[in-house]
Amino acid sequence: MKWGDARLVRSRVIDYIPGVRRGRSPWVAVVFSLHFYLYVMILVARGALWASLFRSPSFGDVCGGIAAVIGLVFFYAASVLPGIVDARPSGKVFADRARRFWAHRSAVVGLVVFLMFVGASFLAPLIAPYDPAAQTEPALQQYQAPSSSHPMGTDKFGRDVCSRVIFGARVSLAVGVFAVLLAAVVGTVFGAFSGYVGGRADDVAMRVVDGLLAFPSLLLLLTLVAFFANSLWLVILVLAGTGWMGVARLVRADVVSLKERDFVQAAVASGIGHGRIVWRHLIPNALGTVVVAATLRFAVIVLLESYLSFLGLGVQPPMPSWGGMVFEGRDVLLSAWWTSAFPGLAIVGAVVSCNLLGDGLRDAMDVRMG
Amino acid sequence: MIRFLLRRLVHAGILVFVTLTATFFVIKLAPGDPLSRYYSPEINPQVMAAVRHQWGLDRPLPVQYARTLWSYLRGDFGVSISSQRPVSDILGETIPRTLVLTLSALSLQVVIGLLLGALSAKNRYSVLDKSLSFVFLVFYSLPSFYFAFVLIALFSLKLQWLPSANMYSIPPVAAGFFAVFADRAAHLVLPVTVLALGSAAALARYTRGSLLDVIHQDFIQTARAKGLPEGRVFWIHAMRNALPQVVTVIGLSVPFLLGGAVVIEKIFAWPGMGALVVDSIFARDYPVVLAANFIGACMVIFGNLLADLSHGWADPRVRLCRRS
Repeated sequence: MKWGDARLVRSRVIDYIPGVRRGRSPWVAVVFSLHFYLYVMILVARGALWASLFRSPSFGDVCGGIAAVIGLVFFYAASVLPGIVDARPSGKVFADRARRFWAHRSAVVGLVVFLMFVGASFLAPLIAPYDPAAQTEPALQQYQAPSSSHPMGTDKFGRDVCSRVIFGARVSLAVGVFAVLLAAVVGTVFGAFSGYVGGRADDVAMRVVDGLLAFPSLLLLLTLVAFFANSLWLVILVLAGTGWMGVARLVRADVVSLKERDFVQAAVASGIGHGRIVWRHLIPNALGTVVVAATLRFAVIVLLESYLSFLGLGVQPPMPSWGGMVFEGRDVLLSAWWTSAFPGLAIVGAVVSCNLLGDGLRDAMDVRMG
Repeated sequence: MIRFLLRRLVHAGILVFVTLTATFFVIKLAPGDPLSRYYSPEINPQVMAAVRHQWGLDRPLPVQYARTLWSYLRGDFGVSISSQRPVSDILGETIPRTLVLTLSALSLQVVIGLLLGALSAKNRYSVLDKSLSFVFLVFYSLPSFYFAFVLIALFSLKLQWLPSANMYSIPPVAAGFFAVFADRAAHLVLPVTVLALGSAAALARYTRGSLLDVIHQDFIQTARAKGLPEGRVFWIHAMRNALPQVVTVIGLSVPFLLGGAVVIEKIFAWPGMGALVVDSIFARDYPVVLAANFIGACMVIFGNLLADLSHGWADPRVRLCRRS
């Protein structure tokens, strides 16, 4: 193979990574390495992930499975970055956006706090002071108030609340990442094609979206999760299933206005196939909207997951989940307030930071919501 | 207008039908059986078969579906398997209870949300606005069960001011209209607060956003230029133009009030629809789950319809658009 072929292959491959254009070498490198990291992670962790989700997971299984989640978070980052960069205009646009984002103080706070949650979930085995499932002699360790040895106290079984909150971050974030990715992909494709095709099909598609939006999602969620065995995958699927419509609507609105623009008309005139126009020209330009919608959706999904765990329909014990921990603390609200207060605060912190981040991204990228 | 209404009604009808069908098949195809709780080794299989036959559970799925549809068309929701009472009786009891809860919450939510949102937009970019925005965000992000626990811990366990469960005191308070009313109201305070504040925060965020969008438009400048007082410009001109979108959001929050009520009713032991749904889901009580989902979808669609209609009331442009 000659050197020129390699260059050609490279440019071809770059063509198919949405939002990245030839010649933006630093970002191409970043996005490439992130995707590469994802694939490696998936290869490394596939078996463990499988085990952790379908068999009753041993703790090592869960830890291994998290490696794959890390990969997926990086995939999310890899999709977000070009969205922010939005390679089409010059670097000046990106610089503008970045400047606006960093000037938005609350957004930066949101980003930092959110990254702290992400970091805590990755590094949980390293930073958690105890094994979250380890039960000590209950009579001795039960319901200990927060102290230097147990910063958030202990629960009914003498387990360290702090460690459980840290490990609980994994469940919430993993569900959030999977569900949001799925919802964003489905919503983007659906919205983009609906907006691009237009006419009758578009009308029908949007009626379908309206109808699904009208569904009382928590009721539906409860019915589905309770009637089928509640596996983590079902929770993710249902959460994604109730979440993609918002994305679809926003992307469609974007695409409808984009397709009148000159560069799309030029693409049509030059005889490029429809699929390629949607994929290469429309979706990349709507990516900013997708990123903002996905980030805000993430907050909603973390919240919904906590509702499910609270009702006992989410992740099953002994795996720690924030909603479940709040539920377990319901009988001792006053005498052992720390058992429910800290996981509750964790939910609020994660959701607030995610919303702040989403609001900041929205303002920085000047995306119109709703 | 009539044509618009008719079209919307047809859409709503289709939607309700799809909801009913989807729920029916989800329930039926899922593992589990409403009679499984009665299984025991001693029970005579013939008796069990007879019971199954009595409930129509032994028929093929399409037949069951057709029978269900037919009975729904006649307005008959069937009989609850676990309590042996007609579903319509059960719903007739529980729906008013839920409505008391959600309608009080909805009105409180609209008042608080609109006022605080407007206040925030009026003092835009001030310290008040920034702190209000943060408060909105926190309440918007607060899981209602956690908020409920905080309030219960504070007001009913620590201070013992308000009851934390049920609709009325047990044993009931002495007779007398005011005593009973006060008792009911006291039981409403906590659940309504939890329900209303969360959605009020979302509404306030939205109101602020759409007011800020409107306030930079030319007609506001014109109104100011012709010398109208700022209060009038803001409350009449800007508000009037921001309202349609806000009204739509209120309509869309009806499902959230219903959905949110599921958890709240569980926590406060409020014997309404939400608690009923959760209990019958766990008991695999098909007729009740189906009817509840059906009513839920109807209410949601009704809310959307109402939002659309009031949209026309708040925004003359929409009316014109529909007429043509």
